Amino acid sequence: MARRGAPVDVVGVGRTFALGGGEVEALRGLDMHVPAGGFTALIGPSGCGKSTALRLVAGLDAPDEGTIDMDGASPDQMRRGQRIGVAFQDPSLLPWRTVSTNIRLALELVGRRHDTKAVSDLIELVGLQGFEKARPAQLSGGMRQRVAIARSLVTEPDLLLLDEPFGALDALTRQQLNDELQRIWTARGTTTILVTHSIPEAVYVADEVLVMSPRPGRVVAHHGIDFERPRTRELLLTDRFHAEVEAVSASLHRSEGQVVQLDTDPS
Amino acid sequence: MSDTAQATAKAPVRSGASGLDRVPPRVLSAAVGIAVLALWELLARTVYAGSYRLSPPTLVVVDFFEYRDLYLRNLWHSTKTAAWGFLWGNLAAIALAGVASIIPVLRRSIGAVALTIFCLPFIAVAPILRLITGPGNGTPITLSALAVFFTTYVAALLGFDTAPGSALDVVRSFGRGRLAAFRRVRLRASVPAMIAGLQIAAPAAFLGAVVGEFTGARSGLGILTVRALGALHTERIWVIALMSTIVATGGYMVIGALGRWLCPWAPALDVGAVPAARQEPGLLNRLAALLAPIIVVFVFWYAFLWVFQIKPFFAKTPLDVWAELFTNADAAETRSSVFGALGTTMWTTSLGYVAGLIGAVVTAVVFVLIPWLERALMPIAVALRSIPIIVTTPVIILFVGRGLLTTTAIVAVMSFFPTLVNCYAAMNRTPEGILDVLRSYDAGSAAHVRNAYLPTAVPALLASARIAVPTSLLGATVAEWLATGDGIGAVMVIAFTRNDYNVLWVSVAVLTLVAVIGYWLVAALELRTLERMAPGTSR
Amino acid sequence: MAPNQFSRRRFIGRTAAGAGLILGGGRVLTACGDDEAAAPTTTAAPATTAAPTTTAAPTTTAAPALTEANFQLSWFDSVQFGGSYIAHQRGYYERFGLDVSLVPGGPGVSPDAAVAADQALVGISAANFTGQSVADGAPFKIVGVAMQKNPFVIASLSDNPINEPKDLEGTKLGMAFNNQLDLELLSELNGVDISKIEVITSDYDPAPLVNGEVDSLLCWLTDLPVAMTVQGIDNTTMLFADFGYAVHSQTLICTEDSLANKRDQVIGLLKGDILGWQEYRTDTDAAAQLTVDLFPDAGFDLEAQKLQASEQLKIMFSADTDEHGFLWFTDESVQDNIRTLAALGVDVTADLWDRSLLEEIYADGPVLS
Repeated sequence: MARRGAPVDVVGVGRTFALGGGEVEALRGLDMHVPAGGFTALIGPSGCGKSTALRLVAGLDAPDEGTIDMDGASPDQMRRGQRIGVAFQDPSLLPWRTVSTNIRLALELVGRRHDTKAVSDLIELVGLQGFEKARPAQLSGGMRQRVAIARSLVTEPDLLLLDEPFGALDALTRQQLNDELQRIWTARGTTTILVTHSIPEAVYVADEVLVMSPRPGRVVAHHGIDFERPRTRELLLTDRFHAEVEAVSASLHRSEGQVVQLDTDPS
Repeated sequence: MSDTAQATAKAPVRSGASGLDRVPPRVLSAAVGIAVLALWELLARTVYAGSYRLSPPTLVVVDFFEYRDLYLRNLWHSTKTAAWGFLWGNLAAIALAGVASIIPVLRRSIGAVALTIFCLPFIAVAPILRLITGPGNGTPITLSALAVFFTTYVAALLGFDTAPGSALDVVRSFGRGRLAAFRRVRLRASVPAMIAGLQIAAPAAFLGAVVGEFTGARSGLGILTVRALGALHTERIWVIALMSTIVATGGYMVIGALGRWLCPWAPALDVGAVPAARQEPGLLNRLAALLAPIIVVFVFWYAFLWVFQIKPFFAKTPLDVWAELFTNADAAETRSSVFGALGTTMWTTSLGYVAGLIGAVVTAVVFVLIPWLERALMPIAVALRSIPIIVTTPVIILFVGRGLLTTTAIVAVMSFFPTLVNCYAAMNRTPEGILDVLRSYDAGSAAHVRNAYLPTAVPALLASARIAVPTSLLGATVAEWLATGDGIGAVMVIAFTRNDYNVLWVSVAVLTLVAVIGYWLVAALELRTLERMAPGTSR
Repeated sequence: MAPNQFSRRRFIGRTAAGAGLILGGGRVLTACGDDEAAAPTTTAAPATTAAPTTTAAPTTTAAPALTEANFQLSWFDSVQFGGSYIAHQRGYYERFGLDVSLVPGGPGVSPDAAVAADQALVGISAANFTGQSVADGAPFKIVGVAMQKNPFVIASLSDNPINEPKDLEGTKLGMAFNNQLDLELLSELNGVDISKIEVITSDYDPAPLVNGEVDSLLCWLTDLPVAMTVQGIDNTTMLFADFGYAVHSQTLICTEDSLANKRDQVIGLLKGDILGWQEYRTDTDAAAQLTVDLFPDAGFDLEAQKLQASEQLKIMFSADTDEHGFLWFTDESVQDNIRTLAALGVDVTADLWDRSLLEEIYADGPVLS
């Protein structure tokens, strides 16, 4: 399978927000490496800074300390180079645009407005044929997320950042979209970081699952997931899948006790 | 997701933000305020020295303190009048909105009467009211009440409608009816919307009171203005303008603070941005929707004349108006004078209306792109939108002189400020997610404006544009009366001074009809646009 | 109860009930009550507000049953109505059995309408307005003329004066838009080519003249020119009345119904008023002082009121009034008015005027005592 995209190196990143009168330290000493074409899932307790980490990688925010490097470029450079695709829990579609023009928005923004083939390919890839002219309000939640993912992919980014894109969906739709996400990633081979709450989801789609500690967030455990691809739903029923889920779950559980102690060597 | 919310709320949103973005808003506003005052002082002492037009702020302050008792007495008088009008107008509006909420069948008819009242030209209604209420404070209070009625009615009804359906279902599940649902759920749920309506009502009540004073009061800022103009008391005009601004803005802000205190959970909302009510489908429904309000308005018209037993010399029925326009001997003459003047008014008003709306959108875009500018100027804009037109008019005349342009400028000002405030608020509510998507592709300002800010502001723009139709015509007639002597405003004043009540009623009827039609045209455009832009999202 | 009694006095008959319907009765009346306190009505004034000129007159009047009557003034309060204020203050109206309320006017008040609607027994209007109303079917009569000469002037700055109508040609004139017909008439009467006058709308405001935006203003002798003089701006005035424009101004009107059924009251009001104006004429400064004292909320400039008070003597009193009495109008002036009004497009006959009341009042000579 064709591996493309940029590797991501996050070293010693910290980020503190002013909030009200005080400060909130969201991240401290975050280290993370995602190889080119890799698929990494980021998991952690609520409020641990996962989304902050993703926004830093996307160049939507800047760290107070530490560095983020992608193949020699900074996130801001990557963003300015229009090499990033993002999708959030809220699909953030423009309600006044149709499915196809919402997907085309990304192309317009990178100056490839006339690439109609890319749009129709993506619509096919995410299985929305026949809904090209529909508007977001006429779609189900799962369909809207497909549009958001199609939009994030249509520019063929070097880095795909997904922030709980399926968080608001029911279990069945969610599984379906996980299958498609895997298929798409397999077909495209884009470096992907997925922030999620769901351990089975992380284990099912990613090459590696990183477990974060509560605030200030940092990575406290790495779990390499080496199930063969394409992974199918049968995998969900296997003992080794459950064992992997249990292991991540245990790490996550342990991490929640690590608010105070600072374990500098999580591996 | 809570961490994301925190992050987006406080993170530096734009890279390359100006250093001015870090200056506290108060400091910026103060700096801009001082700069404006300094420029004003300079202009007044140089270019406009001896013009009896622009007074230097220092002299305005001196004058205020010299005649403090006089000013405060008159201010108190106008404020008191406005307060009574505010009270009665809002009580009536909320009560009728309650009736419309409990008995939905009446909704369209009550709404039609409310809209008609909103569209009545004040300057012609004032003398007619004077004939009913007689001398004294009756006319100013009534005008003030009429001025607040519609916006509060709309806001209250919106408030009653926003009651959560599940809570209503709970009431119903206990076997209780609409009345109980109204009392226990709708009334409570309506508070935030009602507060928003009352905020707008505060300056409107003040305007009504001041116009009402022209029907022969002994005290008040409206009269004091006219006296000051005639006596070359330039400082006095400016003192009055500033006091009116402070009181009207103060009322607006106090009610806003009250709202935040009463319902801290509720989002800030502006009744100017409330979408138009939707039409039921079906030919019969549409026909009923069209006819019922017309019939109700005519019934109301006759009832008004009957209840107050107005003498036929003044009181003109719809039939009289029809006769004056089409069957009387001088019908052709009436038509040509009224419609000719109406044409002038509509032309100057449309120009100002469109200019005001476009200006507001452009300014809102500039504000959203240059945050420090917004922080410096928006408080001023919020204040300016509350200034009574009667008081602004002399100031506008000062800068643009007297002529067709004056009307256009006054109308533009009337439509500019509310639209700016609403559109900016809407743009500011652009979902962060959409902005993040745009930023993640490093989209430029133009792309932000095109893909996010402008489309997001469209509903607010259309809602403001709809409300601005009657207010623009009101502004135009006031300007025509005070400054230009053209158009239907002048026709009405001449008709009134010559006791030509036929022409007066014809003018009132025609102008009100134009305002109502304009309102509905914009409302229809609004519904179509919302439906097309985002099907299923309009109410 | 008190507010309701008050209301019956203040508002006339059924209209009060009507206003109550809209506004919720008592509250409004309270508000009106406050307004009343500042107004010179005898119901409240003489006992409590001890104005400098109060005399013992009211207390000596034995008759307890005063009839209430409203007198609708033509404009906001000012010394323009100084004689009526004196009459009020001194209890002259009460001498004739009337409790008169002086009701101020304004841009939104038509005195003709107030009289026609029975809100005032007598109103102050002008012959052209009243003529128009009568032509439209309102049953009015002019029973007295307060201004013998029409107060319209062309005011200009003294270093660029307009001394006669011809001077208007080639200049800019600021005026209220509803004076168009008056200007046309003045031009026609004096052979002025109106197309050579550039008219700019301007009202209530001398600033355009002072600024040089216009060369002259069409206004009243007693308003804007006085304001300019007080501000130290030399100005020149040209009275319309001196150039053939004969329109009775400040005409006292009442309905034919009142003439038939309340003749005594109308006569009483006129008599009281005449006494006030006779006194006004002897001391205009006192009238100005009274006006300033009566209406503290108006923010009057005493000097301006004094000047206005003395200026208006020029147009209110004449050889005719000296011979026949204040408010008099001659048959000749009526004929002049009919001609002028016809030229203004208002067709009236001498029936518009009714001098019988004045003839009765002045049966014993031109000075009332």
